[in-house]
Amino acid sequence: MRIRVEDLCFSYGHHHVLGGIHLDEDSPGKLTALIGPNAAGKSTFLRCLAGLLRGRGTVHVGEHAVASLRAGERTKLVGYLPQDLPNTAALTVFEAVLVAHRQARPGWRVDDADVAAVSAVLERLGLGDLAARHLCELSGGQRQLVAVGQALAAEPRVLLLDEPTSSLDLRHQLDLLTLVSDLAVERQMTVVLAVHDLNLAARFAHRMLVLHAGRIAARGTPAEVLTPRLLREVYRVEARVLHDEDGVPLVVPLCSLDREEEYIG
Amino acid sequence: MRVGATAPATGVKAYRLLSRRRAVILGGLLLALLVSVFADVVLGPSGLSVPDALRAIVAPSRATLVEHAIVWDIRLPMALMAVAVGTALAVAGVEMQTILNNPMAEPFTLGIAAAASFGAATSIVLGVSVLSVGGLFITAANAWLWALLACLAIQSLSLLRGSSAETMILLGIALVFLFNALLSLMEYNASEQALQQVVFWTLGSLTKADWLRLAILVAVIVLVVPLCARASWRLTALRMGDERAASLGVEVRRLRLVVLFGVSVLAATAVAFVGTIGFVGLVGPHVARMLVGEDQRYLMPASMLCGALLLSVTSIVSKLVIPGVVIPVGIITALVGVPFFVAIIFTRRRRIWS
Repeated sequence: MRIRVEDLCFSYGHHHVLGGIHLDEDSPGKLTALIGPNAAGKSTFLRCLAGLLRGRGTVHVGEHAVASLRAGERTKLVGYLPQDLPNTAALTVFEAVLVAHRQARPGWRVDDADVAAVSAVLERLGLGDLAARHLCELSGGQRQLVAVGQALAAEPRVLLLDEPTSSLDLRHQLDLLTLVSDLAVERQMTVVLAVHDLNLAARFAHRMLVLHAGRIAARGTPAEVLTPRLLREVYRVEARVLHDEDGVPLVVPLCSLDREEEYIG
Repeated sequence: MRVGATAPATGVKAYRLLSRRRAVILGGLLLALLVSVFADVVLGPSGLSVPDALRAIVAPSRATLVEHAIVWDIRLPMALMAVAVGTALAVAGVEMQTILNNPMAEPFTLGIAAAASFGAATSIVLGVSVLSVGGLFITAANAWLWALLACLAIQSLSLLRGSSAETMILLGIALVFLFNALLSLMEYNASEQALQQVVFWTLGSLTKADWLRLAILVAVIVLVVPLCARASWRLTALRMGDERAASLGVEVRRLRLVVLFGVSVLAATAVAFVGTIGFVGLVGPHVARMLVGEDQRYLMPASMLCGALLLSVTSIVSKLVIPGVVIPVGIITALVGVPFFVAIIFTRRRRIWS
């Protein structure tokens, strides 16, 4: 599904986060990685795409201006996974995904179709064994998988993931991104994910968007985007970029260029 | 990812089992409530024997005038009022805890009871009434109005700050202090007789119950509960955090404002009629949450039943502590509730408020 963003600006009070973003992406079945240093505006940008924040400018997903959609229609179109882990409520894993699945439809009764849909999502994420466990008994990584399950439960056309792998170990990072890639192909879903791990992003993403100080600093395939020069200018890091046999870039950071400069969080 | 090694239906089976267990728990609570209400009606300080009381209920025509009056005009309205008030306070408590994502939220921490007490005091001490509804309800109407004003103040002030849960709770606590101070000021200036009335009002007592008050409270319950019930899935989602709920399609701010207003009206009505009865709105929902979890489709009815049961049992205890005297139930709720609550805090296994 096509995502069109025109002159998107957003500020929290006087603090400008996004300053005039233009974007026109149409890559169903593919992953687009949103990268950039801390405080570059990645989460804010994703929230604007999801219609949860309303900035200046327009965001269209397919034919729809997301900001003007009703909440129910919006979630069927765009699924969004917030960066924070879900609260540890007294809900079981099954219930947590069921709640996400049932938002779209009123009525109290949980029918067989609901139960089947939820258990399919859980099986897909390898959470089947944890279905009866409470959220508060899970590890951070397991909770993050539940959150992904919630985002998938509504079967959205566009999936926005804000650092979905931040709490996961190496194997689960690979597993999750493999799963998301597979789902993207199966459902012809457009996936945009914000990630910090450039090598992981390069391995799975079809395209990369680099957000820097509220603007898009670069876009293209990982091989086009990840250059020593970009890493110097955007991340302020001296790095070597190697390429494996498939041409996938591999970033090896060497040193920080301005350690004396104050870290702005 | 990993292909499910176990039967794919484990989760489904566990969920079905959980649902059945919760239905059984709800049934058990309902049964306990019926027994408690029955005991509440047949027990009392007036020296009416249990068989006589029974006969007055089943065959009112064969009871003496006095027996009939004791059972039908005093005990039944009181017993049912305990159920209605417990229900109202517990619904208010559970939804406030849910929408504010805070285990301490209830009608009292948000200043609704304090405002009601102040409102009652103004009418008792100064004879001031904002509403000119018949003389019967002057105090209740005043208490109700002030409670609603407090709620509207929280809502409109917090709107300026994006209606966050944190803002609402802090404003609520500020209002508790404000209205307690105003109440003290009122008491300080009151005549001895008025002071006695104010103190009695704030103690909270079911003896003010009659059929008309009961009917009004039940009507408000019938209006507000479906409002919350319709929002069940959204309210459950809210417990996982504002942003997550919003990402699932919940209009968080609107839901928070509408539900908070609804349950505030409910709590205000209950408090206006019976005075400050604390703790039910806090403990009822916590017990319910321990029994049935966080799915609002079970949590809300369970909270209602727990609140009703707690107040009904308290009503019985208040008649038995000193023979021949009905102690204001507001005193007993805390005395019965606190040990119970402390026990809950120490026996719970899960940390469910992050």
